[in-house]
Amino acid sequence: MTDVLKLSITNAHEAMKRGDFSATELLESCLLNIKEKDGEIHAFLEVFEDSAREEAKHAEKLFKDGKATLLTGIPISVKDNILIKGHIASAASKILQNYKATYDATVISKLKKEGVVFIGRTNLDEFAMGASTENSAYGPTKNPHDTTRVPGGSSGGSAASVASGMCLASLGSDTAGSIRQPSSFCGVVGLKPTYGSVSRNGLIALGSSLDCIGPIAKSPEDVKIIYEAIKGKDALDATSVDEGLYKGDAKVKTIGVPRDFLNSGHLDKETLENFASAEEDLKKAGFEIKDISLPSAKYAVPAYYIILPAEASANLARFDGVRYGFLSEGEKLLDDYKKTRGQGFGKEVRRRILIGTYVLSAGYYDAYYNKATAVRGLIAKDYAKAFKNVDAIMTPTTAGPAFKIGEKSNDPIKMYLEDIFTVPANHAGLPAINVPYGWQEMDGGKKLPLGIHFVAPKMCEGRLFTLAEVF
Amino acid sequence: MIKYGHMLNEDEVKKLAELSRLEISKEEIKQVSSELSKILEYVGQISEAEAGDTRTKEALHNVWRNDENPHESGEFSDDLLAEAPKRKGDYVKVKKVM
Repeated sequence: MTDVLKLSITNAHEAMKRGDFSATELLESCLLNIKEKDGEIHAFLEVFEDSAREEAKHAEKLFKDGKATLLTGIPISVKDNILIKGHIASAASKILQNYKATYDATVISKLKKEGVVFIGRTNLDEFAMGASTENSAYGPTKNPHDTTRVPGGSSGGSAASVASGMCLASLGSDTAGSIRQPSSFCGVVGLKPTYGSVSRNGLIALGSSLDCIGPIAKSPEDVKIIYEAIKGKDALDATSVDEGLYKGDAKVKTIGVPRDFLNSGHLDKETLENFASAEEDLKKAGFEIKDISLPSAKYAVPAYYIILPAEASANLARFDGVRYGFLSEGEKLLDDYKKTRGQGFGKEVRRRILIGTYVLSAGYYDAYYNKATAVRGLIAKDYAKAFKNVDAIMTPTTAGPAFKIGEKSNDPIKMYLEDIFTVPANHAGLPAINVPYGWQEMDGGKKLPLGIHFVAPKMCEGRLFTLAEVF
Repeated sequence: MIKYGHMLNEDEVKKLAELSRLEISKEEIKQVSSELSKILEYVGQISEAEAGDTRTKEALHNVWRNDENPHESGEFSDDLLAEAPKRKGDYVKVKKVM
């Protein structure tokens, strides 16, 4: 059996090319890890044993025919809000419990061409609304480093599946930090690409002006390999952009630290010390650190909890029990809608639909939605100004390590503040990455991973990879 | 001028639920009205931000496809109809609308 946790995509590829092990053997190692660990961790909502075994056989043929690429035969898990034709895509909601995807998301068809093995669909907060994966209609995922703690969210199943060697990488989605925060809590690398650089066709929409699909893996190199494979303009996503629209590069010399913003983030002492140590390492590696200011970033979370519910309430209007998904019948058609949605959506989803409906209603629209959109513009301006002086910006990814299951689930605002360092990049459409750096020892001796968060100008993912490689 | 941090009463939440096509229990309406009020108070912080209309217009343009059939008629009908909770022949079945 192969030790999946020690295996990079490139090493796995070389090993399969040499014949050290086959795609089937690699898959079986992952399946064994799932069998041993996932009863407790619950990263997967479904493991695709049969189709994955077929895909592994197909990958072996590609190797035999000399047609294998770097991703051929690599077992990858997929967040359950990304459509794979013929498989259930539930968004961890009861309302889609039996919904079988009728087409492949663009990212899935791209990876299918490479001969990737899709090992299963991973747990998330229902419709990606949450920061702990506790909002799943199918029960929470646990953090592989301490199963009394959350893995983060909403892509908690994806991050946990990678961190426990159940696959080599995963696809997640990020609307406010849903790739980066769980990656930080689970000690893996997670990339939110530039808005528009990866097609969202086939992603179950949450907040369309913010949503991005991105990779989670163990190393910056693995994340880069998947990002390169899934990016690109797509006629089926009108918001996808040509690579040439923004001039991207991988050159980075100076790194900005927004001290004012850090101070407003209620950082744990250990996280702050860990961050200082990361700064020292970067200086030793030859980078220059400069203090910068992001004065409007403190409004990023409140603005988000206006824009997101507004967009989500509109996006979720399509779930009505008519064309697909769950149906609960009443007397009249209107009763069908209300019963279906009332019973099919979980509590947090209902709460956000109500807020969205409120902030979009006549009389409140200007004060809430338009004002939040204007604030979003201010945040983008802050970044543009900062990037005149620095090549990238760094903060911790989260204010502290993974929290206990149940610790924040009864206080929505506390949970919303989990996004404080990650959501500004979503507002501005900028690429950002979590890189694991440092550990925090907890009472009882367990160690939890911490993370550093880098943000770069549009299409400058290369700078993020350059920095991530330093650690 | 809107007063941020408006306390939502239960009737207003009932109305919102009606508009959102959500059946919500009496107990939940009670709970949600206090939660929603807290959230609205929290997001009201944005009133302090000095923002005129700073929406970024950079790179925004409409993207259209040609007004023509993108695929053969009926190519996906069976797959799509198979997902409908109620179906009659090649139609999705719903209760009387009018």
